[in-house]
Parts: sequence; C-alpha cells; structure tokens
Amino acid sequence: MAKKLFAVILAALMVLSLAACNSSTGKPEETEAQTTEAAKEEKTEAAKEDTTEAAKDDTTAAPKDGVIELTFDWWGNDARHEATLKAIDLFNETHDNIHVTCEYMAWDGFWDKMPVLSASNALPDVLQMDSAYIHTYVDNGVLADITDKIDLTDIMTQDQIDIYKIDNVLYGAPVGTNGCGFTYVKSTLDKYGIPYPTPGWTWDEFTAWAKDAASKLPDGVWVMGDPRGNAYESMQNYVESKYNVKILGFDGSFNFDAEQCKEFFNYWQDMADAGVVPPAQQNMSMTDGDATSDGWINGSLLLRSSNIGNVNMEIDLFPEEVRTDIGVCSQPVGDYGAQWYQSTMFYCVAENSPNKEAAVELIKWIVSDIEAGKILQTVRGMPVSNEVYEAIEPDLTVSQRVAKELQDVVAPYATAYWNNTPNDYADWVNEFKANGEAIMLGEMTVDEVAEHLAVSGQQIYDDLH
Amino acid sequence: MKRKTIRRGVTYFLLALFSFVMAYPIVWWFFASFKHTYDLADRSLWPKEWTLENYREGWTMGGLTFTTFYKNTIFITLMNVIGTIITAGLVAYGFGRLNFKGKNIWFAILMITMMLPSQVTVISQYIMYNKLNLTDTYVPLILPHWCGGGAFFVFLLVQFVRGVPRDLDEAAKIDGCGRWRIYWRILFPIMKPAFVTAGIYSFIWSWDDFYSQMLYINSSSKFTVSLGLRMFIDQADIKWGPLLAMSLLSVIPSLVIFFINQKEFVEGVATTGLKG
Repeated sequence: MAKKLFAVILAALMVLSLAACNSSTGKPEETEAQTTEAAKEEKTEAAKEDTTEAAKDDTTAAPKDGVIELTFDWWGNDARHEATLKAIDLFNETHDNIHVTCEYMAWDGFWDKMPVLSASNALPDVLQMDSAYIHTYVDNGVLADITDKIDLTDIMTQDQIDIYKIDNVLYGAPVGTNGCGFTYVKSTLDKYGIPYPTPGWTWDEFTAWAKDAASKLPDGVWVMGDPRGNAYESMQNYVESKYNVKILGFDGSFNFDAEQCKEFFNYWQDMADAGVVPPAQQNMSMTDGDATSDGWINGSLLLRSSNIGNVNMEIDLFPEEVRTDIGVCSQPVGDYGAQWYQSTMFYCVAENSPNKEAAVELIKWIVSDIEAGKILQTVRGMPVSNEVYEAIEPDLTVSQRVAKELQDVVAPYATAYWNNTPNDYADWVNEFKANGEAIMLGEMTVDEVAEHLAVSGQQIYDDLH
Repeated sequence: MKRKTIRRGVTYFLLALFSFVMAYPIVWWFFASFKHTYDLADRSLWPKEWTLENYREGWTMGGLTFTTFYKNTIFITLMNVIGTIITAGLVAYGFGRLNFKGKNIWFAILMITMMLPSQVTVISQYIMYNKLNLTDTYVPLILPHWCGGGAFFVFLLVQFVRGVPRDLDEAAKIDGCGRWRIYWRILFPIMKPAFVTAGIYSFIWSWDDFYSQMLYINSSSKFTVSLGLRMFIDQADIKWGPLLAMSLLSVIPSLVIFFINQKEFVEGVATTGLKG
C-alpha cells in the first residue's frame, strides 16, 4: 500500500515538475558556452563556397587558447545570409582572438526559436533584433546594457544615438536606417499635367495638390491607396505628425483620443469624396508588391507610400526604362514632422553572454568597417555610416539609388522615435483595420467608429495590463 | 438493372467531382512548380512556358544544397523509425504481457504524457539538452524515439499485443521459450502490421517535424528539409517558385512509403482499433 502511494506521489511530482519548468525565469546565471566544437566545424561547411583556404584552416582548427568563441544569430533571406557569412569570414580572418559562429534563419523560425532560448538563458552572444520585439526582450532582462561599451559617435551623432535608448539605456546598435515617403513615376504625372510634389510639403499643401490631381485624372486612376486600409499605422502617423501623440506609449500609457480619431477618418473621407483614393472595393483588390494587382505598378495609382528598406524591390517590378524615372517626396509634414525615420533593426548582446566585450567588438565592426560594408551592401537597409554608404555607392543598382534619394528627402522631416506596432497589440490593430474598412464600405459612420474604438481599445488595453 | 447503372453512374460522378475538388490544390501545386514566378497568378493551370528554373534555383540554398538537407532528414527519420520499432515494441510487450509491480500506475503515467501539451516541456527540455551540450546535434531529435518511442506508439502496440491470444505464448512456453524468445519468435512476427503502422507514423512525423528541428539545430549544414523549406520564407520576401518546387519534392518520400506499405498500414490500423 505504502509503495503504491509512493508511486502515485512520484507520478504527480513528475507531472508537476514538467509543468513548473515552463515558468523558469531569465535570471542571469552562468551558462555553458553554447558553441561546441562541432558547431564550429559545421559553420565552415556552411560557408565553404565563400571561404578561402586560409580561413578554412583557421576555422576548422581546434579552439586555440585565448580565442573567444561567439555565436551570432540573424534572420533574413538568402542574399542576406550569403553576404553576412562572407563578412563574418572576413572578421574571423582579421581577428585572431575572436571566432564567430553563425546561425541564420528566416523571420518566422527566428522568432519561434528566440523565446525558448531566451527563457533557457541560452541566447546567442550577438543577435539581430527588431524594433517590434526589442521592448519585450528588454523587459525580460535578457539583453545587455551596451551604453558605455560601444562608441558609435564616429558614424552617427549623439542625438541620433539617444533616440535608440530605452529608459536611457542603449540595448542595441542600429543596423540600417528605414523610413517612409512617397514615390511616383514622373512621366505619369507629366502625362496628366500634374506638377511634381515638393518634399517638405505641409498637410494643407498635400491636400490641395491631391484634390487638384484627382480632378485631372481619368476614370480608373487615383492619386493614392486609401490609408484607412491600414488604419492603425496610418492614424498613428497622422496624430504623431500633427499632435506628437503615440497612441500606445512605450511607458504603457494609452493615449487614444476619439476626437483625433474622428479628425483622421473625416479627413480621409473628405479625400475619398474628392476621388483622391479609390472606392473601397477597388482599394481592397489591390495587392502591394504583386506585379499585376499592385495599383502603383499597373498605373492606376500615382503615389505610393514606400519604405526605404524595400522600395528597390517595388521599383524592380517596373520595366527597366521606368526605374530611372522615379521621383521621391516626403510624407505631409505637420508640427511634429512627417513620419518616422530610423533603424528598425538592431544588433544586441545577450545578457547571458560570457563574452560581452568581444560581442560589442563584433557589432562595432559590422556597422562601421568599410570592407564589411562593401560585402554587406544593403542587405539590411541603408548603412548607418555615411562613410560605408559612400564606399558602396558605385555598386548600387538604379532602384537602390532611389532608396537613397528617398532617404535624403525623408530624413529632415523625421518624427520622434517610432516603433513598429508592438507585438502584443495585434488585436488592437485588427480591430482598427476592421473599423477602417467598415467606414470605407459605408457600414459604419465615423462617430460610431471613434466611439467603438475608444471603448474596445480600452478593453484590449486593459486585458493586456 | 438500368436503374442500378444510373445510380452507380451518379455515385461515381459525385465521387469524381469531390475528388477533383480535394485534389485541385495539389494539381495546381504540381503545375505551379513549373511556372515562372510572374506567371503564378495566371488563371490557367497549365504553365504558359514550362521551366525547371524553380527546381534549379531552389535546390541550392545559402551555399548548401538540398542534397545535404535530404541526407540529414533521411538519417534522422531512419534512426527514429528504427528506434520506435525496437523500443516501443519492447515496452508494449512489457505492458501487454508481463506482470510487474505498479504496472497500471506506470502505464497511467505513460498515458498522461500523451496529454501533456508539448509547449509545457519545451523549455525544460531545451535547458537540459543545452546543459548537456547536445544542442546543434541530432541527439535531442533521435533520443526520445529510443526511449520507448513515445506514448502513442506504445499504446498502439499494446492494443495489438493484447489482441494476440495468450495461448500462443503458453504453447511457446511449454516448448521451452523464455520471455525474450516468446517476444522475438512469436509476437514480433505477428505484430508486423502494427509495426508498419507505427513505422509509417513515425516516419511521417519525423519527416514533417519542424519545431524541434528548428529549436535544436543551429548549423545550416545540419539543416533538415523542413528547415531548408522555411528558409524560402522571409518577412517581406517569399520565394514562391522554389518553395513550391522544393516542397513538392519533399512530400514524395512520405507518399512512396505510404503507398508501398498501404496494405499493412490499413491492416494495422484496422486491427489495433485506432484510426489515424
């Protein structure tokens, strides 16, 4: 009987212990170096096509005394992988005291894996981080404070560095700048007798220009896609530009204002009535980045809100002669700027890394070394360092040069630090999108939507806090 | 007679129609893998221009080829299938035939593990393997299959063992067989259909596994097919052509295994009273 009881208790304990392990906290403790010798050898194989003989000998050798082992994880596409592997080979060749092992994935796999590694205190020494996730990782205490460890003043000003601080602490070095502006095909505007837009234009100037353009356009052509289709981001940009408001604040505040919401939707309703944006059905049937149904590519829209980071891919969808005919402009400027302009990707050091100094050295090298920059090109957006940009400039394609032009017109009108939609707020974004579309389709009035969003937004916000 | 023919005709027509509806995405997939990316949105099923570009481009990935990924996956999968058949069979024999103290409790514990969501154990498992320095090896992927092969397979085989008449064991015993020989000579051959079922499931699950492979494998040269396929999908850039082509190739081994063993598979499922 006693034995039976013992067995039952044992069974219960086993089940409980399995369940309890899930809540392990991310307390910094000494973890074993993640890099095994095997992993190290494999890396060489991974990069074998790009590795010179000398580098191969170096990397396959047993770890020498005093050589610091680092792991570096990133997400990306094939081009980014190949370029980064090459750059890291160069780093390993030129740094006798550090050896870097690379682990790379696509976006999805990366963000499935990192939470587990983070909870297990086993993050790689250096990891690529996205602005959508950095706050979560900082809150969990798994990213190292590098404020005093890394000196970036040779590639950017102190003010520029400061905008990336979270509670006055720098957790990640910016990787490449991104931002949003308008792009257009010059000859299309010429065809309809519409003047080119002027960078730095105000909201009033933009409104007047857009309405005038709409009056000159034939049926089936509109000025731009309806921002209400992406209502959360569009309204955030609108209120940020005009009122310096962050609807979902970093400090956890909720700053939704029903009056501002009404103003935003009324503004675009007015634009829709003037024929600036397509009717709801047409608007929803357009897919950005698709060669046939992208309104800008097929000529049914004049302006496109383009990101510096991927505008070159959009332009590559055009036939070659059009690619040299692209104009750029800033978003409409309010009292607090036009739109965000910053890095949305960072290199971070893990708190659990035993080799933080070496990790910082690697980061500093990637963002500022000219030779590294020449290999990496624009696989992570426009280089932060001007010196690096100038070095790669001659090799850029026509479309990549447009990205640089866009960057130049967007940069002067940047609003304060912007963050991607925080991950936790997916419900809020969906709610907003659904309501924006309801207005476009005439199913709800602006007042109803503003009222509804104020209530449901607060609800979602409360649930999350 | 005539009515019967009509009825049968209608039945076959409906069956064919629904089969077509079910099969259409796969047919589309097949043809799309031979299309240029810019033709993908084209309504016609038939490619305007046949191309092997997707296969050529897709086979290489980040300086590696799918040859490596296939080799790795086949290795893991075979080890898992063998491990499952050997160890799950033995555990099932133990639970189904032998008597030992606490047998029912142990069996209950085993069944409980089947109900544990995998998310609950993932972090503790990762910490364990990480401390043992076994991440970036295949051990975390293979070892569990050599420790009884998982509750599901044990349960499947136990059900089968229980259905085999004990008279056979007793006859063997009288002829002088020990426990081990009873298993090896009598039960093991009889359990063949159940092993085929377990083997196929184990094969397909190992082949299709993504999460644990993604978690434990870091070096790209150790990547498996499913990790390789995931490399085609990035944030804003999905390489549809190569992705379709390579994923089409990736399901072929599972299909072949299934069709070769179809007869035993169905038999195994029917006799163990389990439906997949």
